[in-house]
Amino acid sequence: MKQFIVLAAVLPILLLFLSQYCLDQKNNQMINVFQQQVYAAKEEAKQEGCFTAAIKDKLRKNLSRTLGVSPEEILIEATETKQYRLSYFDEGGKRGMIHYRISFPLHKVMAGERLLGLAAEENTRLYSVEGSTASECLP
Amino acid sequence: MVFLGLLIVNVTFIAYQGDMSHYLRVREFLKATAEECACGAAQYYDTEAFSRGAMVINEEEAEKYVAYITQKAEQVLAGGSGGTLAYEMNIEGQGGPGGGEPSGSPAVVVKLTLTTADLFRLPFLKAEQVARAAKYELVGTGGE
Repeated sequence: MKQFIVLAAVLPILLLFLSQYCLDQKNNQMINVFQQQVYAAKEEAKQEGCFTAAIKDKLRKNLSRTLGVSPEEILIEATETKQYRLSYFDEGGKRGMIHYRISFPLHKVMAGERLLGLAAEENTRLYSVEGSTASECLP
Repeated sequence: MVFLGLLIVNVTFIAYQGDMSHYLRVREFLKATAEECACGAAQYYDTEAFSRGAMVINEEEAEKYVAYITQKAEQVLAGGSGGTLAYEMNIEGQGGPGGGEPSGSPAVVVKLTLTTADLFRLPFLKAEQVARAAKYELVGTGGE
């Protein structure tokens, strides 16, 4: 009986680790997919000269479908003015450069949020991928 | 006692898993940045040489671009693992400076090296340096 009581107390704590392990696997997989899709969109933007509405829509749809978040939750801050390929590098990083910062919310970072007393907002983190690239679009 | 043992094993495993995922993400990020550096640098060509039918990469502009992208990447990394990001750029397969004729397809090779604090919290694992390289070659443009 004593052992049963100890087990009842200890089991939820040990199960928490198991859930956290599974959750980490899932979150890392989501981040990998996110990174790959952002880099793919960046390659398209290089050809077009900027993040066009079509590229952003496609990225939102793809990310929403694969990550299971709503399209509105995906934040895209990127160069929307067409940039053209230059034969020199602009020191200010403005002309001929495309900048982007794309984020999505990871809704569950810690397993057992109720047990740990975490609110949904506290258990959410915004994951971002940002960078710059030179436009390959010819005038 | 058994519980304590299991707890230590679990905490160690979770720490390892988290650190390993972070390490792999840093590697992936550095690879993407190195590819970006090499690919972007290769598009700054010498227009004068190009008018003679030769593709010669403008080393000065390429270097400026690589330095800029590396600096931006270092700022991004500062939010996570931090550390210093150094680059090494080489241009292969083209003649020397001063308009020499290219000897083959020019290529830009960029190697990025991140030197940071230990990426693993576990004492028996150590990764203080991560290096990734990328090569971008303009095939079939170096010859006549």
